[in-house]
Amino acid sequence: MTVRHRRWHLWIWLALGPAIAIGLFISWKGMAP
Amino acid sequence: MSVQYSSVKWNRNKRIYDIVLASAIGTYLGLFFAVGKLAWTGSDEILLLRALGTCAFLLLHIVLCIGPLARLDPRFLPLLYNRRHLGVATFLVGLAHGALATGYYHGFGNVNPLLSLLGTNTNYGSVSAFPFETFGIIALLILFVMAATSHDFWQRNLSPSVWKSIHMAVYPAYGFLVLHVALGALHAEQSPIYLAVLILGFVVVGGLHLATAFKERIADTPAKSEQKIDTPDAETWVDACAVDDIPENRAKIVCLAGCERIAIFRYGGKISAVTNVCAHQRGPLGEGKIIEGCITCPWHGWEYRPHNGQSPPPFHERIATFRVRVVGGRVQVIPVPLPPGTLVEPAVIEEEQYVA
Repeated sequence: MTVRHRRWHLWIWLALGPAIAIGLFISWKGMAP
Repeated sequence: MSVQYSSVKWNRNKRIYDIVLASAIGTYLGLFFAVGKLAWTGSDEILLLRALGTCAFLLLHIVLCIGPLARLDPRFLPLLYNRRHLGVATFLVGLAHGALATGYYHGFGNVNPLLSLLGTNTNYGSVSAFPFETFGIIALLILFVMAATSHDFWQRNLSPSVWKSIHMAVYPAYGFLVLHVALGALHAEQSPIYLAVLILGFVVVGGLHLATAFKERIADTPAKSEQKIDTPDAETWVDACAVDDIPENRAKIVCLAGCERIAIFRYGGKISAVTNVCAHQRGPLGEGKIIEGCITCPWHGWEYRPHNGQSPPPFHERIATFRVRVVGGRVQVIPVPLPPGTLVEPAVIEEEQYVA
């Protein structure tokens, strides 16, 4: 991989990780009792 | 490797890979359906829907794990060789899931099923009633573009860089699918086990990528003996490694700040330096070896001659080369890439160093 694509990986995961974690949390909190 | 457009070049490995893949998918669907019939009382259509959905999601996890696994342990490289087949299979199974869901839930009314799918539920402000199908559609569209451009024909026409950028969209697709499952199936089932499995999958995929990033970062950190530079120029020789650091017919990968990784190969008493990036899919050439006089990429077997970075005829691929010399048992390079395919006279290892 080129330096550019390694940086892409980093930025994608920096955005994706928290987004998925927040999404899962919201989904869990929003589940009907 | 490119000469002209040609269909997929089937070989024994690809056939075995696809037979195993198709058998695994068939077995999974059959088992899911059989066990589901015993343990669950819902309709066959919903059971099949879930079998296809979970199968596609599992396949995507495997696709995402193969890359970092191959970087962490070369024994996983055979899985990487035909990863595209796995990606296309993921799309097809996902498409079957989407088509069945659309037909089953939206195909029996007067409204066009696709319009019904997109327009029936617009509760975007609600978590419990969120139209989770939207995330699934977006993910499926991304997977479609990836599957449609998975042939080398598209890679050559789009250029490897653009092609790779398009295929990086697999990560957003994964994110959309996690949300599709979290807001859809998890809300329908209410069991914490499903949430735990979803989180486990995310942790495995994320953890493997993190471990790989950590390993790569260590590899990019120059050793104390190596000279670190910030602005390479075309005249400055930079110490890269000791000749003895390089195994015969293998390479040492060095990262001299300010430029891409360089693969320094040792073969038959000579040293040559080329870019570590394969022209095909950006594979790590320095982790390959020299076979029959050619550097062979460990990912898909593309070949280059070490002294000029050119593929052997009839192929035309070229990679960047670097000027290299050996001084006192140390390899020095000028870390400025020469135009792809430039002939560079290999550095000759002195006899006593070569024997040692």
